[in-house]
Amino acid sequence: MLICLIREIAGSASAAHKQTPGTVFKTAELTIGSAPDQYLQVPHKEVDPQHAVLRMTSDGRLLLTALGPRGVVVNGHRETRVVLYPNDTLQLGDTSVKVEVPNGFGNEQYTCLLRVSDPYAPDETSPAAAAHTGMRRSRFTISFWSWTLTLGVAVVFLLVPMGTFLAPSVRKLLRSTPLVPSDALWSAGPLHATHRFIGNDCTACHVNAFERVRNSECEKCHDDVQHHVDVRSADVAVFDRQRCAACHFEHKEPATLVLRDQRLCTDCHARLDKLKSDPQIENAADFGSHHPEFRLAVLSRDEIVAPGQWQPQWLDSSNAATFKESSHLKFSHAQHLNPQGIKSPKGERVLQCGDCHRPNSSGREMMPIRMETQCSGCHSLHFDEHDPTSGVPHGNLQAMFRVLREHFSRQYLESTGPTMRTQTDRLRRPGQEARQMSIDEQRRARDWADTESLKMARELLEKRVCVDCHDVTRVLGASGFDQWQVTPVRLTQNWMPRVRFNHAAHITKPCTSCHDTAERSKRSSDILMPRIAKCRECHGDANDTSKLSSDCVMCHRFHLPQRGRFDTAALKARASQ
Amino acid sequence: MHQSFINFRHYRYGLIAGVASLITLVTYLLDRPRVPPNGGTWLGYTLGTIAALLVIFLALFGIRKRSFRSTIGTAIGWLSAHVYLGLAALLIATLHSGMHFGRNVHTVAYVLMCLVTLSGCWGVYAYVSFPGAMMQQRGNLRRSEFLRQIAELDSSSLELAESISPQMTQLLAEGARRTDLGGGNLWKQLRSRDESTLLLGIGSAPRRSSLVSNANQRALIRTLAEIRPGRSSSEVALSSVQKLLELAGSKAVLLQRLRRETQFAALLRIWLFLHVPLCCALLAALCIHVVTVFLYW
Repeated sequence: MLICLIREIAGSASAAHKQTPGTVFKTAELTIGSAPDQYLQVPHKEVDPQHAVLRMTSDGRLLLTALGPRGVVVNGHRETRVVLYPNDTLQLGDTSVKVEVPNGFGNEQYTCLLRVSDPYAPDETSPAAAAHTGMRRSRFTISFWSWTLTLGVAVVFLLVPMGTFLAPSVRKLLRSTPLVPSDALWSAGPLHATHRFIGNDCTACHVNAFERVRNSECEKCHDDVQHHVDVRSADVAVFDRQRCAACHFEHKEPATLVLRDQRLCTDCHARLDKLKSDPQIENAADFGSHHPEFRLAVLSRDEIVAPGQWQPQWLDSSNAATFKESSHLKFSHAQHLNPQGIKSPKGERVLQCGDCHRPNSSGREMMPIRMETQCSGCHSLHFDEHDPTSGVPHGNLQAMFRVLREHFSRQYLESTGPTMRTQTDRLRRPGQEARQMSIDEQRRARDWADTESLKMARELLEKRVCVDCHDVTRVLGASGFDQWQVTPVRLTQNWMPRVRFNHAAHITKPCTSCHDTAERSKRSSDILMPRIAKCRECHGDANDTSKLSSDCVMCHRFHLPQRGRFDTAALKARASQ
Repeated sequence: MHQSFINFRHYRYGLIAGVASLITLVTYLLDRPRVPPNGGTWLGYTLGTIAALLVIFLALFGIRKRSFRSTIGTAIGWLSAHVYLGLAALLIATLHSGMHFGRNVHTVAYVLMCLVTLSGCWGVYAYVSFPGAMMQQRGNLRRSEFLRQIAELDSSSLELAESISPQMTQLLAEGARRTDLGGGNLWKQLRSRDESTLLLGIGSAPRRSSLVSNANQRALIRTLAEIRPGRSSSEVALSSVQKLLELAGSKAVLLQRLRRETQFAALLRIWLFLHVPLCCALLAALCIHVVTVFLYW
């Protein structure tokens, strides 16, 4: 549309006497406001920067639309949308705009003509002086922002999350709805990976407001945790008020579920001799500097106290006479590890430690040594060199005798030698039953088999096979197969019952770097376990910076097996007594 | 030596805050808690309590500076303490946190504290450096003087223009009306961009009128400079145009100074728009932090 603006100063000479030059805009819409970039600009505090806009409708009428909340004043009425007709007057602050019937200008026809009357004369004051230079008054004052932010923080971080805590009915909904603030915003830090399945269910552990997490909440899942001391002993009273959370720390970074600070242990263990009248274990304050020599336990049998049972017995490392293993196995590590090699069915063979000592699937511990898996490759139990299928079973004397008897009985029956021919000279004809042995013949055969079996048993037990590795004794007064006894063998598997040692973590070192006496050991009674000094070559105190810093829980555990449940209800009941 | 809030009583509060910070830092470094350092150790609780009390004290400055009748210390002393102890409080709160941050209300409180301190630092910088710079560029003129001078220039220009032609009068009147003095909302004051426009092609139909930018009065000066002596123009008219050019140049200089002045004033004020609301939000977050830590102990 083509709009002509004629702007004059009210009451001025130019307005009264002569035609003021007009301004012609060709534009789809005429912008009106106080900003300098508006087509019709009126700098007045009652006029918004973008105050209104004038458009032409499809049916050729002029539509004035207010852009701000204060609307436009046309003919004295405040409107938001109004159609302008000739002689209508729009009031903009002190300025009035009159709609006039457009005249032709040359060949062009104006869509409309607006006559603008400004209230001041140009020589009186500058319009610029009327403009505002300071801060425009705004709703967005400092106190507005202060209240908005403060209330915003309160709503998001306290009021809505408080709903999760106070109203169990909406708890789940609030927690599961994304972007809705819940009590998860109060979490001081992430849960440990093992507890993350709890999700954002804070009240699973934080049951009562302003109360620290109770042990009973832990026991809902961890119901079979063992105690540190025997629950039947008096020592248990020391732990009566102990919280699980004293050692198992949540919501902290780095996420460590088990606190490794060894003061948790050394508070007692550094002065155990003063706390207990009969300390069975010595004081320990730090691995590198204040830790007793390793105490080893070997399996042994006390036939008087517990006949037939292997029990761990603590060894006294200061007494060389008793500081030995009593596995009753004859074994020389030195012989087996001979660098020149050792005789094997496949010729000379140089053995390595790992040929016999194999780790279990986790790599942490060694699998038990067994005759069948580790020894039988070289140590054959064959007794008849003409019969490759002959062999006695291991570990059971009666079974061995039975095999020997069966072997020689079969030999008696199958034999074609001169001794036997007289008994079996009449061949069985086809269609005839086998000839029954007479009672006499049977006795003769059994006697022969028993004699041969005993002869062979004596050879095996006393001369060449069993006796190589086992202690074989003769029972006084006994005869026949009952005259021998093999002392049972049991190799100690767990030398340090209170310690967790991980072989896999030490795999980069050769076995003999720790078990350094193995290559020289000639007797199975030799103790090949390293002493603490050996460990200290690499492991230092908890705060050692020159060695691998080693705290208590690197090797020891707090919750020990077979001590009884760490039952806080029972502890509490005892504490209240 | 002039006593400002920086060197108030020979840096009394600077020293107090420095010593307090040093003690806190050394204690933190020497402390060997059984758990990883966090707000829940005995040192954590101690530092947290100190920091919270400091924040309350710092917020009280907002009340003290409005109580002109108060005799609890001098306003400048309070400001000095506010500045130095505010910096120390941030350090103490940082150590209280044990450097553990996450998506929670506790970190929100800490971040708000950092923002409040940062905006405060900006305020200190503004108060120390801007008044001098403002004096330098403003000379002895006050803002009303600027406006009066600009109005005078406009008025002289219009008077001259009337003697030339109605078109010239309209051009100058529109130019004066459409002058952007640098006011308006805070953002416009800070940005300080000259959005003045000029309406060209007045009364010269059938040429269309057009709105062009008149930043630094450049469009006006160019339009005036392009007026060539025509057949109808007289000596008097040409000299008037010359005079108009001089007036437009003077106005451009004045406008630039006024704009800078407005910008400085806005910069001096803007940080309070951050500092005070953020401080209120911090107080709220701090209360929530303290309550919720013990609610879910």
